[in-house]
Amino acid sequence: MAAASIAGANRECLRRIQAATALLTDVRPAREALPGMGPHTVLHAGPPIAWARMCGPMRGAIIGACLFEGWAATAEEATALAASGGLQLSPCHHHQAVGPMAGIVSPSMALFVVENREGGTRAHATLNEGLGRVLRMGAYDASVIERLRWLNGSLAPLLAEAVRRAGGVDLKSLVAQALTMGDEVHNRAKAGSALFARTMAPHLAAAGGGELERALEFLAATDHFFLNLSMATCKAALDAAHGIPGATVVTALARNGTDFGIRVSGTGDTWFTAPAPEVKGLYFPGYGPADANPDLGDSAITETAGLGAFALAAAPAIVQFVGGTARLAVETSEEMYEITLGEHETFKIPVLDFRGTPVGIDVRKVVETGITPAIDTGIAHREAGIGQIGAGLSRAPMECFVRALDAFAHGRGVV
Amino acid sequence: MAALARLVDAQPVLLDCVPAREALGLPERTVLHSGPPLDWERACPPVQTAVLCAIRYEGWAPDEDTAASLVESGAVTLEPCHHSGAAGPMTGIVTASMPVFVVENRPRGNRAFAAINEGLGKVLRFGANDESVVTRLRWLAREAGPLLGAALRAAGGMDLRALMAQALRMGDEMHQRNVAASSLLARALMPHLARTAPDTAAVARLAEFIGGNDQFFLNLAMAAAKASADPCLEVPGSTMVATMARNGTDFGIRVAGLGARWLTARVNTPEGLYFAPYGAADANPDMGDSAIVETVGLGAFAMAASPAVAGFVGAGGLRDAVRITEEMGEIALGEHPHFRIPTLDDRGTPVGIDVRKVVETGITPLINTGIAGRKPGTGQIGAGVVRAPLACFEQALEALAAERART
Repeated sequence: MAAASIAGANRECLRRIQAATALLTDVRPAREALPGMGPHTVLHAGPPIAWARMCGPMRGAIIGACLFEGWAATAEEATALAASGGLQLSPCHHHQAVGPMAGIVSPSMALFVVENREGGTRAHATLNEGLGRVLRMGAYDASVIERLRWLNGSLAPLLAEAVRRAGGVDLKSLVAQALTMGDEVHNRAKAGSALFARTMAPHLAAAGGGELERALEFLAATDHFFLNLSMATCKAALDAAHGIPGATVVTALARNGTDFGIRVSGTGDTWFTAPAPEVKGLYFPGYGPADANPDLGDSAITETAGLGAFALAAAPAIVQFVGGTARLAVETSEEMYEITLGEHETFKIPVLDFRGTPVGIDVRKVVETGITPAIDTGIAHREAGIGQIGAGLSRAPMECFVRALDAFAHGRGVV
Repeated sequence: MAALARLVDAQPVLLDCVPAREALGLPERTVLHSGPPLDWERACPPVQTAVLCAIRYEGWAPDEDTAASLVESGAVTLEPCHHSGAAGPMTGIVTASMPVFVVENRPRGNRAFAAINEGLGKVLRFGANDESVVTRLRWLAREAGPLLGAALRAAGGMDLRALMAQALRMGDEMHQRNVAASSLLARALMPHLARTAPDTAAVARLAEFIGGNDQFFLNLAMAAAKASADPCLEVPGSTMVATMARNGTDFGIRVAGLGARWLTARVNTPEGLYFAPYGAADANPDMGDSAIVETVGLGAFAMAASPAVAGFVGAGGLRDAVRITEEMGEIALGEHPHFRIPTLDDRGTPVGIDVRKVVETGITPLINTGIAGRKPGTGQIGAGVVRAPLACFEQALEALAAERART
């Protein structure tokens, strides 16, 4: 394909990503909200993967989902069910959804429904469970299942009613505000979470009911609550930019804890994969790199949309916990401008004098410069059942981008 | 340095919200205003308008003319907020039935108070006085104040120093930008409100009011700052500024080594950006007790933490914001151990204004401020920055010298 038409396709990609809107309109069970969600479908993060190759935390989360759905009474039963092929495993990304870390979605789980009315897409994500022993990090003990029951059975219907009363919530505007308040809306979502809680409080109170106090307590205590909302915001924008012939813009960066996969606008639904990288980070007391699972989760959709580590300059607190300085945060963002095609017209970074975040990762630029996308991420224990043990930074593997460019060069999988 | 230690070691905790008559022992027929003491005849139009509106709100007079005659005859007395333990933004009006937040400085036990922020637009603190202003004041006293009080008592107090330190990392300088602090406070308070309120409709009304006001936290930042600064007024020999306040006519400072005495000069008019269709000719000279936040190292002193404010008040971009914080460092005694600026690699904000340094360098404290219309009833017309007048500091230095000569 001629360079001029590639440039035109990429421009259209970039335009659609930036023009995307994100209106939270509902909270509904996955079985109602998602296309292709069968009675035993279980969605997971990252590119496609079979049970046999899944990492510990992803298996742990699937066990938890089986217990939550009542498909199994014990972890052993759940393992046997999954190993025997009794579950339809499929990536979230194939069903208009994104999931942080293990990213497990089963039919009864409630999902935020986020509409990009400008681009005609819809994206979904579960309710964030908080930190520590949580399903997305591979934990599945009784406390995890009890919390899932309350989140999906009590909080979700209350939030759904509040969202309807609010007439929808403009998430794009909340992301833009949170960026000016020290969030990069991936590993730090505190401002977004506080703004969302403050926005929802009157509508939650108006909806009322016996769960109001616990709902407000949960929102007050969960600094990552906004993460899943920012992920769905990004997914809705990128899906609108997916499938443009000739476009070399990355529309998904995703990890399943075994493989790292990317999708590119002009190569349709092909995943270009490589082994998931290790995470450089800080560990909770008692844990170290030997305990860490390789990088995991669909949350790198935020980086794909120009947020997360791409907006690190806006969130110096993130680098401080990996021992860096505010300078390193700025340098990381500056480096990402080298592999992106534009500066976001809505998402701006105050310390860069309100420069737009680097957006639109170009596969060609990654390969030419040798600079791979930086990603902010949590760290899960490599064994099932334990949960989060730290947080840090990782890099997408170069191999994915080389393979994608190769496909372009040879016209393979090109839409 | 003893005064600086008192200032930065303060730990303000938000305890309660109760009517001013209980919290301050404020008698009927007294109106508190911002800044140093002020005679009625010298008061600027927004202050006069707000005073008369408060008198009507309290039911001490049925109309403006009767209200004015009560003030002129001395039947209603004017007092500075600062003399009653309170700090009030802009006109700073507080009367007996208005609910005030109670903030205690935990290590020393002293308390400071501030009214509930009314929001933006037509509000008493900017000198607006129509029916919507009075209706809102009545709702604040009847419903919002008691709900907030009950929730705060149930919460067992909220650590404002920790909250302010977080908000500073989230782009607030706690004077012209309080969106992070307001959101964090709202989020933390909501479960307690839901637990203590008699019905969820009342919670919904209050949640909507708080959620719609990005400056909700300003008054709390001011009470926290006053609770932190007040103990410094009892440190003999210290040249550190413990109060900066304006009443729309005069700018006044109080200094640690001079106790309760005010050193005053004519107040300056802010420079800044105006909402359409207003301009500099419509601006009232600077007013409000809110400069107490600059006194404790926030506001313009923390401009580097808040590039958004630098733009909003017309002070330029990030580099200009950093330069302002650095300039304030030249007249400060130290860096705040708790209030830190991420973009300056976690350096503390400049804190503890030294009268000697101000006079020596000629650098006067910069203050971020709202701009009120000078015409009564207009409300806010813009935002900007203003300098404290050098004369206040020169007088203070002379008074300190005289004090030293005497002892």
